[in-house]
Amino acid sequence: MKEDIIRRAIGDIDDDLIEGAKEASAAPRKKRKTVVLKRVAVAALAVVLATFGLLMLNANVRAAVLGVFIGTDSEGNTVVRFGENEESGTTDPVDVNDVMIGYVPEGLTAEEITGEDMLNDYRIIGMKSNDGKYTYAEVRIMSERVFDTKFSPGSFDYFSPTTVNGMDAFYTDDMDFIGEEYIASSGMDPDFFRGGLIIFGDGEIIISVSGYNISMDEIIRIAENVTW
Amino acid sequence: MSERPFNRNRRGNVDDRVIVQMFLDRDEDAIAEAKRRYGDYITYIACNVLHDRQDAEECLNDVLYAAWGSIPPQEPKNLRTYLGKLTRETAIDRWRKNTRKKRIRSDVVMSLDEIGEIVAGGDLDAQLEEAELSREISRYLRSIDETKRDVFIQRYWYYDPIKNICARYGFGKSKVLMMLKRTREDLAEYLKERGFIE
Repeated sequence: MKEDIIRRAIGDIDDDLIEGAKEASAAPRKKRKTVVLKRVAVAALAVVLATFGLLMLNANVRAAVLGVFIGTDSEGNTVVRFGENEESGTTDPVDVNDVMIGYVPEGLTAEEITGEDMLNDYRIIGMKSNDGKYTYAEVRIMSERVFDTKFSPGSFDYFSPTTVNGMDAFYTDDMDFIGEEYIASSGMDPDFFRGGLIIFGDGEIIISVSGYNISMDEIIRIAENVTW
Repeated sequence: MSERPFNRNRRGNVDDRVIVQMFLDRDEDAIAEAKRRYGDYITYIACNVLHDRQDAEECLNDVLYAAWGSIPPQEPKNLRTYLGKLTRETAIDRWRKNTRKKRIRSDVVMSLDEIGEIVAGGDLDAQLEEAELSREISRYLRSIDETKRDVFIQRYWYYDPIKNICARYGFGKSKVLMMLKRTREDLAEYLKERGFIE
C-alpha cells in the first residue's frame, strides 16, 4: 500500500533529524519554565503598575511623572496615558479629523471605519488587503481629552518602550488579535492572527497602530507617517 | 560472560561502536548491552504505538531479536536510531495484529491516516525506490522551520500523542494539528513537484 511506503520512507529519514527531534522533546521543558517565569514576571509587573497607578491618583505625583503611564483600570483593561497634564486642554486642541495618514503598505487599502456612535474625538482607519488575504492594519486616533487608551486584557505579554518621531511609545510584536474559537472556526493558521501594536502620543492625541499578518517594520512605518 | 574489557563512558554505558562490534562478532552479550542502553528508548516508542506495557516489552524482545538477525550484514553507525527504526516497524506490525483482534488504539490510527494523506491525492511513482523517497523527505525536512520539523518527526516517527506534543511546546491542540496538516500538505506538494507523486 502506498501509505505503507510513505510510512516506511519517513521511518528511514536521516539519523541526525531523528536525534534532533528527540533532543528537542527534552529541551522545551526549559521553555515551559521560561513561560511560567514570564507569567510570574508579568503578574509581578501588574502588581507594581497597580501600586504605581494608586500613587498616580495623587495629583502631585502625577505632575511629577514625565512621559507615559501604562497600567490597568478597575475592569482589568490595559490603560495607557501620554503626557499627563493637570491643566488639560490647550487653547487650540488638536481635532482628530486633522490627523493625516501618510503611509499605507503596498497591497492594502485604507478606509475610514469610524462608527456613527463614535464621539468626534475618536477615529478608526482600517487597512485591508486588496487580494482578499488575511492581512489587516488599523490606525486609531484618539483625543486624550476624552479617552484613556484602553485595550482588552490578556492579549499582551509585554510592552516595550520606544519612540516614534520623538514621542514616547510602547509596542509589542507578539499579540493575539482573535480568540481561539475564531481561529478554530476560520481554519486559518493561528500564527496569522498574531501581530504587532504600537501606541504613542503627545498628551493631546493618542495614536495606536496595530495589525496582524503584517511585519512590525510596516506597523512602525505607518506610525511614523501619521502626522498632525 | 565475556572477558572482553568494556569501554564504558562516564555514565557507565558501553560505547555504541563496541556494542555493534559485539553483534558483528556474534557475542551474545551484545543483546544485554543493547537492552541496557536502549531498552527504555525502545519501550518508549513501542508504548506510543501499542499503549500497553506488556505488549511494549514483548516488542522490545522482538526488536533485540531482529537486531541480532540483521547485524551483520547491517553495520549501523547510529545504533539508537537503527533500533528505533526496527521498533517502529515491529510495533506497527504488532499493532496491526492487535487491531485485527479488535484492540484498537485511535491515536495510532489517526497518525497512520495522517501519513496516508500525504499520498492520498495521487500515486507513487512505480519505479520509486524507498531509499530515494526517504532521502527526499529528509531533504524537505531540513528545509523547513526547526520546530515544525521536530513536531513532524515526533508525531510520525516517534508516534508521540498530540497531547504530549502540546504539553512539550506549550501549544494549543489546534495549533499543533494545523502545523502538522500544513507540513503534510507542503511535503505532498514537494514530492509532487519532484515527480515522486503522480
